[in-house]
Amino acid sequence: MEADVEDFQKGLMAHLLPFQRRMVEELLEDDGLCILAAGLTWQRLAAVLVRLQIERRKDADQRGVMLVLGCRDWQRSMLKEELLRLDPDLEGWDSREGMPAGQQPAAADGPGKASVNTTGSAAQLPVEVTNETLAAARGELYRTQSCIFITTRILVVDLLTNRLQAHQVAGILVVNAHTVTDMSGEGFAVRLFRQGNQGGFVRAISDQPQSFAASFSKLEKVMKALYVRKLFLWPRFQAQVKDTLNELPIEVIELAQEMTPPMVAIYDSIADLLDVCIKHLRRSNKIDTSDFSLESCLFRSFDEIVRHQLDSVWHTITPQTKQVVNNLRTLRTLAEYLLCFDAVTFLSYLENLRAGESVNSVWLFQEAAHTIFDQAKKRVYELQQAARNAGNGKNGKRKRVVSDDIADASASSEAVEVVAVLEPLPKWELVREIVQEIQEERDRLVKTATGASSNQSSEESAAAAQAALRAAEAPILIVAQEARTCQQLRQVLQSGLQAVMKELFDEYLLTRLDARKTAGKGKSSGGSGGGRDSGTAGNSGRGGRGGGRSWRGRGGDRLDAMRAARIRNNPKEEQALLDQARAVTAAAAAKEKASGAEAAGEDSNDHRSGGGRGRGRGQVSARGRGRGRGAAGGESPPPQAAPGSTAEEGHAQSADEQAAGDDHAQPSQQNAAQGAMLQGVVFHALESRNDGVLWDVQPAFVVMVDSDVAFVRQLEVYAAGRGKAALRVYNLRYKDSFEQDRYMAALKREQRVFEDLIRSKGHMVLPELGQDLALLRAEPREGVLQPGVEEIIPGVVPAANAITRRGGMMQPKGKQPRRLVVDVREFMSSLPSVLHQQHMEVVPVTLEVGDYVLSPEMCVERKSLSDLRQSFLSGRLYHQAEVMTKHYKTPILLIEFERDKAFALHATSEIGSDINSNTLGSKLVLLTLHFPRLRIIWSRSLHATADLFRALKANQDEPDPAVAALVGVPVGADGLPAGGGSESVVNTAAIDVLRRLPGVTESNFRPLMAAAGSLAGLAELTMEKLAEVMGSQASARKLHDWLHAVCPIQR
Amino acid sequence: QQINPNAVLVSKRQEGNPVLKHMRNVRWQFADIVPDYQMGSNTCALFLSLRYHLLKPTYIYGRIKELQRAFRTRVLLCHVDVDDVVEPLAQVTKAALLNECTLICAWSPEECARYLETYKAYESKPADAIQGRTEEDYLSKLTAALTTVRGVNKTDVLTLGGAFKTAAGVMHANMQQLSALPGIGPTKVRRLHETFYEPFRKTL
Repeated sequence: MEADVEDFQKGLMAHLLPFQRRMVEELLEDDGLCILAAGLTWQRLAAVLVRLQIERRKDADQRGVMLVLGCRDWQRSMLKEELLRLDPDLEGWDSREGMPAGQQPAAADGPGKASVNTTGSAAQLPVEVTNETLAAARGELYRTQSCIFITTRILVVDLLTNRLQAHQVAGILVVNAHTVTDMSGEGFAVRLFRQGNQGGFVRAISDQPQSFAASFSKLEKVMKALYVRKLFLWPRFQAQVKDTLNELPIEVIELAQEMTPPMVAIYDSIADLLDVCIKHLRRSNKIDTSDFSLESCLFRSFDEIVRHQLDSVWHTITPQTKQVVNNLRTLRTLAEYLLCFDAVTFLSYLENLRAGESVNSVWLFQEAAHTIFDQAKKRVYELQQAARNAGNGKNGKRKRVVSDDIADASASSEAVEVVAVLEPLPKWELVREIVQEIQEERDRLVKTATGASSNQSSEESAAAAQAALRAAEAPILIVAQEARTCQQLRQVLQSGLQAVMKELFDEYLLTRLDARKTAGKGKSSGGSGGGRDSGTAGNSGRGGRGGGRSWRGRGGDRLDAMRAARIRNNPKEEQALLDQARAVTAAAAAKEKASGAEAAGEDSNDHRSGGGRGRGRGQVSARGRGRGRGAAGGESPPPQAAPGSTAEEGHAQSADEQAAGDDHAQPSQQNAAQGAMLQGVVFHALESRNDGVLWDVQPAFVVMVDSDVAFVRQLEVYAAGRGKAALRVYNLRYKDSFEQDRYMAALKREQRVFEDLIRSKGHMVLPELGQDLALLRAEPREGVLQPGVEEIIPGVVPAANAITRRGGMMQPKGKQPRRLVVDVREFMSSLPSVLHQQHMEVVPVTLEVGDYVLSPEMCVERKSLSDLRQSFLSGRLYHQAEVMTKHYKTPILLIEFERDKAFALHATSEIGSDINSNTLGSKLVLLTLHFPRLRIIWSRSLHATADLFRALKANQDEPDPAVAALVGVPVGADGLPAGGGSESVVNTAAIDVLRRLPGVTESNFRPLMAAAGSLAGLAELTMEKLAEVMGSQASARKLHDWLHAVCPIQR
Repeated sequence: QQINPNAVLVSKRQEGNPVLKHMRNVRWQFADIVPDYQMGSNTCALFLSLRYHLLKPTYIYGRIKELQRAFRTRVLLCHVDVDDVVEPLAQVTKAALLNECTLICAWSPEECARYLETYKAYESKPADAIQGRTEEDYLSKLTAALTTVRGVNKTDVLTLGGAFKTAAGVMHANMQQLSALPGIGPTKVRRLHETFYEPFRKTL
C-alpha cells in the first residue's frame, strides 16, 4: 500500500513544474510555513497536498483526517476546481478511480448529504464543514473523511467540546497563514490540536509576503503560533522559479493609450485635490508625512499606512482631519473609477457621491472639484442654444444661458437643449482594434494551416500547421479588473462603442425622469424629494442672477457652494435633460408600437431572464410601472436590440467564466459580423478571483485591460506549463496614468519584502520547537471531557480542572473556579483564545442572552468600539441590555478597546462645548440611566479582560452550561423551550436591517421573521399578510408603504 | 440655602476639583450630600481619580459603603489620569462591579464634567435615541437600514436606491444586478445578497 502511495505521488508530481514540485516536497518533508510570491499558484500546491492526503487515507494504516483551515469562500471553491483539474490526469494512472472526479457530487451542495457515501474507495472532493453542518453530522465526518475544509470557529468549538479529538486529526493545512496570530482562531485551533497531538503535521501557506512586513517580528509570531520552525520562501526571483519561468518568455505587446483631454483634466484635478488633502494632513502635525507623495496616495495600501499612523492618536484628531483621511480614500477610488468606468457611469457615480458626501467634506468645495464635475459632464453631454442658435453650438463650446429672470426659464425651456457627447472609454476602442486584429490573424492561421495540410508537403510543416490551427482555435481571453467592465466590453465588441454609450445615456436620462416624478410625489410622502424642491425654490428665490453663477460655486461663500452642490444643475439644464429623457421615452414608445407583438414578446422574455445590466433594470422599473408611473414601455429595449438579446442573457453569467464559454459560440443571426468579433472571446474579471481561468480556458491570446502582478505571474506559470505553444499577451495601459507606476511599485515592494524575509530567516530567534511542545504537554488538555456539551451534568466540574496555575496578584488563593460559558459565535473573536491561554475552561454553547456567562448571576455582553457604535445605532444594545437585565442579577457590558489604538471613548475634540446626543458618551449615559443595574467594564486589552474575568468569578458559583443555554429561549406551547436542542444559524445582519424598518417593533419582529423567512421574502409579502402577522393595520401599512415607495434620488 | 431642583448638587468634598470649572451646560451648587455629585433624585456619582486610587486603594470602598441604598443609578466616575491603567483600573472595576456601581471612565476633567452634565440633562429623557429609531424622512431611513450591512456607505445607498427604485426592489436584487452597479465590489455584493436572501433563522 505504501508503495502505491509513493507511485501515486510520483505520478502526480510529474505534472508539476520543477519549482512547484520542490515546494510540495519541502512541505511534505517537514512541518513548515511556505511563503510564495503572489500568483505563483499556491492553489496548486495546496491541491496537491490535499490530493496526496486523500490517497494516503485509503491506506488502512493511515488514520486521521486532514483539516484545511483559514480558507476564504472563494479560495475554497478555487481549491476544489484545482483538485478537479488535477484529477483527470489521475484517472488514467489509477484504475480504481471508477468515476471521473468531475461527475462526483460537489460536496458544496450539501455537507450533510455528502456524509452518506463516504466509505467508497473512490477519491472524493473534500467535504466542507461550516456552521451549517449539524453537530452530529460533523462527528461522523471527522471519523470517515480523509480531508475536510473547515471553518476555524467550528473547529475550535468541536475541539473544545471533544466532538473532535486531537488524535483523530492527521494534520492541519493552514491557508492564508499571514492572518494567524496566537490569539486568532487559527492559532487557537493549532494550539488545541498540538496539545492533544504532537505527532501530526502542521503545514502553512501564504501568498501575501507583503503582509509579513506589516508589523514588527510578524514572521516569528506567526511561526510560533503555528508551532512550526521551518520557513520556505519562494519569491519570483528564486533561482529555480526564474529558470523555469524565463525559459519560455511570453510575447508581450505593450500598448499605451492616451487619455482624452477631459480625462486628463479630471485626472489632474484629482491629483490637485489629493495634494490639498495631503497638505492638510501635514498641517495637522499628527502624522509623519515625510515620505508621502502624490504617487503613493494612489495605492490602496496608502489608506492602511495613514490609518496605522493615526490609530494610536485617533482620539486626538480633529473631525476635519478625519474627514480628510476619508476624502483621501474617496479621491483614490475616484481616480481608479475614472480609468475603468465609462463616462456616463462615472458621471452618475459622481452625482451620487456628491449627494451622499457630508457638509464637512474638504475636497468637494475646492475649485478642482468643480473642474471634475464640469469635465465629467462634458464627456457625456453639452448644452446648446436650441434650434435658432444651433450654429453656435458647433464650435464645441458650452453655451450657458444666463437669464436675468429665472421665472422666464420655464417659459423658454426650449431655449437650451441637451446634445449628447458620449465620449467612450479610450481603451474600449483599443480592445476592439486588438480583437479585430486577432480575429484576422486567426483567419490567416486557419488558412495557412488548411493550405499546408492540403499540400501535405512534409511532416514538419504539417506539425507547424497543426500548431497554428490550435492557436487559431484557442480562445481569446480578455482580462479586466471589474466584472462590469467585462460586461461592457462584451457589449462593445458586439454592438459598437456608440450604441453602448447611447444605451447608457438613455438609461441615465430615464433614471433622472423617474427621480423627477418621485420628487413630485415626494411632497405627499414627505420624502427628501420635498427637501429638494424647497432647495430649488430657495435658489430661485435668491434672485435669478445668482442662480447660474452659484452653481459654479466659484464664490468663496461656503453656504453658496453647499447649496450649489446640493442642487447641481440650474433649472434650465435640468429641464433640458428632462426634455431629452421624455424624447427618449417617446421614441422608444413609438418604436415599440411599430413592432408591437415582437417587442412585447421580448419584454416578457426580459422578465424571465432578468439578466444583464440593461435587462435587470428593465425588470425593476417594470414593477414601478405597474404602480402607475405611466411612462409606458419607456425602459423596454428598442426592438433592434432584439437579436442581441440571447447573447445579452449571457452577460448574466459572464461573471463566471464557465458560462462565457457556451455563449460566445452564439453568433446573432442578423449581424454576423458583430458576432464574429465575439467568436472565441472569453472574459475574465480579476475581482471574481477565479484564478484557474487560464487553465480552464487555455487561451492563445490574452488581452489585459487592467494589469495585475499576480495575474501576470499566473500567465508565466501557465505559459511554462504549456510548453512551446504560442501565447501572446497584449498589455493595455493609459499613458501618464498611475496604472504603470502602481504595477511597478507593487513589484518593487514585493521584492523588498522578500529580501527582508530572507534576511530575517537568517537570524530569526525562536525557541526550540521541542520546548514549546513540552510546555504544551505540561499543561493538561483542557476542555470538557464529556463528548458533548449537552451531556454535561449541571454543577459537576470536570476533574481535569483541578490543576491550577497561580500567577498575577489578582488571583485569589485556594481553589479557583475557572469555567466560563461562551457563546459559540464569540469564537470569531480573540477573547476565547486568550481566556484559554490563561488556563480558564472555555465551554462553547449557543447562548440566546449574552456572550459570556461568568457565574449563574453574571453575564457579559462584549462590544468592541465599532460594535458599540453600531449597536447603539441599531438599538440592538438596548435590546440586549433589556434581556440581560431580565435574566441575570449582574448584567455587564464589556467595552473592549484595541491594544494598539488609543484607550479613550472620545476624541478630545469630540467633546465640544455642548451636550451632543450623538456622542457615544451621551448614549452610554442614557443606557445606564435606563438600566441602572447594568455594569460596565472598560477593558484596555484582551489580557486585562481575562484577568478581570477571573477576579470577578472569585466568590461566585460556576456557571452551568446547560442552564445558560436555555436562558432567554422562548418557551413553546408545550411548556418546553421552543426550538431547544435544534441548532440554528442566525442572519444577524438581516435582523438588524429588519429592526430598523418603519413599523417594525420589538413586539412584532419575531413573528415577521417567521412569516417572511428573509428580507427578500419580506419584500414580497402583501399588505393583508403583513397586517395579519404584525397584528396592526397601521404598522403594516407603514412598513408596506415604505417598502414600495419610490426612492427619491437627489441630483 | 435654597436647593435648586434643576442643579447638580455637589458635595463640599469636591471643592477645588477642576471638573467643576467645566460644568457649564447645567447649573450646579454645593450641598450637604453623601455622594460627591447628585444629578437627580435617583442618580448620584462618586468621583475617583486613578492617581488618587493608587495612593489610597481602600478609599473608594469606604465611599461606596457610605452610599448605602439611597440611589437607583450609582455612578462611579473614574478619571483616568495615569499612564499604566491596567492594574488600577482592574481594581476599580472590581470595586464598582461587586458593589453595584456603574463605572464610567473619562480621560479629562472636561469629559468628566460632560458626563455629569449629561446625567443631569438626560434625567428624564426617553430611550428613543438608543432604540434604533431614526429620523422620519425616507432617505435617512433607507440609509439607516442599508448601512447596517458592513461596508455599505451613503453613496452606495443612493446608487442602490436609484437602480432599484424601491426598498423592496433593493431587497429583491440578484447578484448580477448588484454587481452591475458602480462602486459596489464583489465583497459588498456578497454581503448584501447574503443579508437579503439568507433566512433570518435557519434551523438545521
